[in-house]
Amino acid sequence: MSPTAVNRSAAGSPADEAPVILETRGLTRVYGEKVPVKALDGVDLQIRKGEVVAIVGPSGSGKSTLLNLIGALDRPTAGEVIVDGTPLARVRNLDRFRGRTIGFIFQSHNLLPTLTARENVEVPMYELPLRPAQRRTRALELLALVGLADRGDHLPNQLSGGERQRVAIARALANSPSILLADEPTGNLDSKNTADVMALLSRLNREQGVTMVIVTHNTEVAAAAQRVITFRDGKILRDVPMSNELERELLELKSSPLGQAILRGENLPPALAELAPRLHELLEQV
Amino acid sequence: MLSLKNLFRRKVRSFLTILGIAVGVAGVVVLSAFGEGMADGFSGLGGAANADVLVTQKDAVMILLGAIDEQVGTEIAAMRGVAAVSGTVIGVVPLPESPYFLVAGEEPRSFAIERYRIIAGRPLSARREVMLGHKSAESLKKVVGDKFRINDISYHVVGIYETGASFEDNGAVIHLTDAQRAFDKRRQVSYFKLKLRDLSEREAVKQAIETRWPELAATRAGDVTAQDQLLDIYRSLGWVIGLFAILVGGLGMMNAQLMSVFERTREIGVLRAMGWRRRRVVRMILGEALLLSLVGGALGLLLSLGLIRLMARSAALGGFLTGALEPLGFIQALLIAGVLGLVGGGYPAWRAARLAPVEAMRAESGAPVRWGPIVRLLAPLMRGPALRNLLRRPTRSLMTMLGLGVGVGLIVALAGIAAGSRQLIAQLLSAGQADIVAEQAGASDAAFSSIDERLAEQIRAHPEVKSVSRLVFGTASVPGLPFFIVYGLDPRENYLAHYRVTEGRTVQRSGEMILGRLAANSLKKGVGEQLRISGQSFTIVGIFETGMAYEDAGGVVPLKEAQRLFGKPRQVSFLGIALHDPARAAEIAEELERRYPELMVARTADLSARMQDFATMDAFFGALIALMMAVGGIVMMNVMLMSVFERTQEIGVLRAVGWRGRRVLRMVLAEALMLGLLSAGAGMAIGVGLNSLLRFLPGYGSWLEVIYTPGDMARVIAMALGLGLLGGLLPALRAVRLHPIEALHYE
Repeated sequence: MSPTAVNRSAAGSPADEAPVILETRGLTRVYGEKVPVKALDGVDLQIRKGEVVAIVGPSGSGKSTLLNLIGALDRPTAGEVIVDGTPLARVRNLDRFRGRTIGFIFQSHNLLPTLTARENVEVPMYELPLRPAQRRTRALELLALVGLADRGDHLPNQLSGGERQRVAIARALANSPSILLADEPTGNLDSKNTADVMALLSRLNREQGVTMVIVTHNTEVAAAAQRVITFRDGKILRDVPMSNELERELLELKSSPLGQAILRGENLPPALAELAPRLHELLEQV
Repeated sequence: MLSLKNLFRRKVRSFLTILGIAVGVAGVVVLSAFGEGMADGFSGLGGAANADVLVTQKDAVMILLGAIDEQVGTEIAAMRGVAAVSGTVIGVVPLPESPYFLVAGEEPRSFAIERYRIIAGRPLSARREVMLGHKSAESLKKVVGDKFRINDISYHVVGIYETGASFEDNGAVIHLTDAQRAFDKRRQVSYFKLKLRDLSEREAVKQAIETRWPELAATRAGDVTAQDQLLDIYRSLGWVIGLFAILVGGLGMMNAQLMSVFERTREIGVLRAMGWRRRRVVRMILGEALLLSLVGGALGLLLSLGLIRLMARSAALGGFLTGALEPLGFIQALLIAGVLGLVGGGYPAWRAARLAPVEAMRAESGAPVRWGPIVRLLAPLMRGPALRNLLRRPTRSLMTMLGLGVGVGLIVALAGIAAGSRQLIAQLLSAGQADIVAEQAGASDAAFSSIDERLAEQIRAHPEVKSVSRLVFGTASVPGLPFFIVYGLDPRENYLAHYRVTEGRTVQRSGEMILGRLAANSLKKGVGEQLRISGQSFTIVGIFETGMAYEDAGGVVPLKEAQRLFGKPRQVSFLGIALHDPARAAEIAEELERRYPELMVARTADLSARMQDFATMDAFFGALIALMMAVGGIVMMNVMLMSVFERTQEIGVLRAVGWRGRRVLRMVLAEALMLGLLSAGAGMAIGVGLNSLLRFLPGYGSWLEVIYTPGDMARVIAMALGLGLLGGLLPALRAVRLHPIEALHYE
């Protein structure tokens, strides 16, 4: 099923009635045998079609492990992942499944340096029954979608950082995946490019109804999501829908210098000093 | 030591580089030991070790083919200062186990017999007795008391000897009279050995002999003689192949070292920033290369020692090898390894030293791509990730192509020459008219073939046979020419018509000859002049032109005189048979072969495939191809492993976007196969270029006839693809086994 065909009504806001596209049940991943480390510990999670979910948390909290498991790059120790109604445990060829259902965006663009932008977008399509001409047309459409229609023949090292990441996004969309998984998509970008990339992702969600799971450290990125899930020690600490404006505002405050100052308990201007304990408590929660 | 540590950083690469060098060095050492042994054996001089002076025929290309009248020995014995004279007949007997089985005929009562140290039984004392070398006794499984057959005559094994010369220890000794009979040298010997009363008279005796018999050469055993020129070709064989091994191995090594410099760009920048001078960086990289090559050289030496030991045990090859490595081989191995190190490390070291510290430190890790204008032009032609990846490191791909191309090129060049000489020999022996050619069965060299000429009469009587021509064929040395082939033909038979006379007339009676145009030009001889061949004078009555260098650089003399020149009374080398119905050639050849078991009868077209000469060449060729495949495969594997290593992260991405293992495998293999194919292309260009250069070689160039057959070229391409498969499979499997998550996080 193509995400472009997703009911457009779901776009923009996560409609509660939209079908669940991704579900985990008691998802557990243990690394190492002698000294077992539980990277993920019994995670239950439901993500609906068209949602944009940010996953935050300190490093080592299990964010990347979760992404690897739902991206079918890794098999869980216990529990299950159900993508689009299919339990991954029952999928025999994970590569093919991954290619058709999941789109990946990495922290560094990870484009093949020897291929042009268009050719890079074509790479995932090799597994589809498409003729070269069809691949080419589709790649150009996708590049146009991310605003790089005129950059098809450029090599990655002839593109700016933001442009490279946009090519990577077009590549992730190549096989019309059900879910887009992004691991720190703006980790290597400056604030201007970060804003551009996030605007693109938001637009794709709004216009194409693409479901996205974004792992990020960046609160600005998290603020753009409709739902923020905080991980700690392999478990979900908080799962907050960002449907109301207040929360959004609070999150923005948290990422501002003022918010940081409040969290650090620094001395504030007298006008604010009174409010500080209450603000601190609120900011802690988001 | 930093160099050593760097080598351990990429163990597989270092190991493969060492292995490549080792195989190359071993190949060269073994092949040149072989060439050396072959030269020693053919010189036939081993048996002269205890003689003071050696008397040989001056113009014989090989002593094996020389023939001197026994009477000369009697006269020499009467000369002042000579204590004893002993004649020896040397012949080659093709045995099923060994195509070059050397048999010496010695006089049992002469001093010559003393040097065969008996280790079992007793020395030779009478006719119909044979002593076997200890190695041949071992490989033929004969003991004292057994029977041994040489040319259909049975001999009684009376003793086993050892001399230390491998050709002798792998051969046999019979009574001189028996040998004269077996090798058709009645009242003739191959050479004389002399004992002097007083060694200080050596020069005087030598002079006296050469003055009295101008056609003879009197030399000190071990001196350089005219024959050695030909033997030098055998000796230089190993070095020629060595040159190619150095090129292939050196380019492979340069590649590996260059990669090592590339991936350490940032580190080198840091070292320079910390105050290292260029010289120190150069020393580090060169040190690494020399270390690798010396370890490789040592390993190659061990490998060749093992190989030589192994080969010395076999009956067919043992005669060429003593089983021990000569000091020369030792020096050779070290020299090649050292040159490899300098060649392979020099360029990368220079590249490393040229890096500007600031830029080097900023270099990206992984595999960045920087393309110049040429590569940019090529890129659209190379579609798909596999082909495009060859452009990631254009220098590396180019060097691999050149390195493998040099190896493939050598094979292309030799295959061309081999095919050319096959066709030449077929044309030459059939004189462009015979449908069937007969040779002595099992003759190991065309020059050794001898057939009783009465067989010609018998075959002529066959109802299907239109005509039979007799040919005596041999090489003689004529001053001013590197090679002079003498064709002995009966003026009444058809073959003579093939030598079209363009000046004067053709040969009619004894004492006359016709000279090829090329020979006439280089000797500056014309009709009416005299030419001396092996001490015999001929009047040139005509000049012929056939268009074939082999013929046009030789001469035709009457059959009877050729038989005398080459010591083949009533014997001929070949019979050319023309049929009434050429379509039945295969059938009749088979019938004749059945009726005359002493003959090898073949259709002209099949001739070269059946001749033993080419079997030796094919064996040598096979060894060469195996060597090139081994070295090339290692180089290819190294390159592909590097290519997979540096792309680990990218392969992770490909897996993440849904590429299956099979597709990754196919991509890496496609890259390797393409590289192999490109190398084949480069190799063909190099090979053809090499041969056209050889044509300009003074003296030998005009002899060269080169034919590139589609079959040979297909084989070369198959070989190059084999190289790709051989070298690409392991790296491809490695790429498939990479776990996507680990690959993604690989730095």
